[in-house]
Amino acid sequence: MGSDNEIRRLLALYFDGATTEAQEKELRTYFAHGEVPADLAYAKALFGAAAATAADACPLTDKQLLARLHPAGRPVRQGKRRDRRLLFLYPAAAIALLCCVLRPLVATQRPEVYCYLNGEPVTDPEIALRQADMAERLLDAAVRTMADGMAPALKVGRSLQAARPTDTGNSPAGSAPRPADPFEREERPD
Amino acid sequence: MDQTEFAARLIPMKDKIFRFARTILSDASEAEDVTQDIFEKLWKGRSTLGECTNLDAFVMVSVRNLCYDRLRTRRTKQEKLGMLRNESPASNGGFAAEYLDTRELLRTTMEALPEKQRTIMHLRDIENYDIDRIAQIVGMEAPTVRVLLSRARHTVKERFKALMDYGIG
Repeated sequence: MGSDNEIRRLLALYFDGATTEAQEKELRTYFAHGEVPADLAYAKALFGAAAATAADACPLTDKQLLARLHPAGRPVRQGKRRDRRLLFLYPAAAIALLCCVLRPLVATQRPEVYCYLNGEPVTDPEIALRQADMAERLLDAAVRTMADGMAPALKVGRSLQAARPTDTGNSPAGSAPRPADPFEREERPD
Repeated sequence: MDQTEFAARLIPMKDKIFRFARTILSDASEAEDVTQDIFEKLWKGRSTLGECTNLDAFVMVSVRNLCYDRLRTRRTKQEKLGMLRNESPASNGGFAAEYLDTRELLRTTMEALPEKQRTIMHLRDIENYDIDRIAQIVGMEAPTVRVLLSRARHTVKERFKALMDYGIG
């Protein structure tokens, strides 16, 4: 153990934060045992307080700490964990299977729609044929009515066409000849 | 890291963790809460602890950070309530008569130190960490750590000298 002067030297270094671990250990050992000079009493008290504080223990026991990490009754799972992300696939697969099985049955039971009458589906073939027959007769009558109504106008049109002079190419300047075919393009003179 | 390794390597650190938290927070019950919280965090992240090169420093840094978070929350609450925390025992005249217990004197003196000085002095004088490890934990350079350590020790020295001057101890 160092002399008092050596201890004073080390103490000065200590308070300057310049001591090594070995030097501090020497100081701790010195102040832990025996009497010290009066002027070093404060240092003995200080080192003694630090040593006592270093011996303080946490109030929590190891068991208490571990119990909080592993609460009783909830065992830590070991081994392979089931992937919970795939669990939704089971009901989805069941529904898909059900649809595949039931679809043909539903399809055969569903009656065939032949036509729509006033927005309502008609599944009776007799009714559908009757409706079609009626519609054909109505259409036929409508066409005949139109033709009959237009007969005088058609007559006038034919006579006008017959009276028009034929196109010799001497049409007035700036006027384009009437195309015979509505799909034929007009050719304007340059 | 499995449960057995966790119990073997980390549970023995609980005393050190508690003391460190108590020094920073100056409150034993809060230190106990921090100790429990730290272990829960370590347990949750145990799968990555095996990769840690310096587990001890990692744990102490975590404790420090958690304590600083609590201090910030505490200060915010105190500011909102308009309370001022009296950190200086020197405001009590004749304190020497009250501190027959030198441990209590050390505790209150360190409590009055600035946070960094308090942290560094605790790690060195209570937990006996070397300067480089302390620098790593507090995130400072070693020379700076020594300077702050010196200031803290000088402050504590003056308190203890004053105690002796009163003739107690």
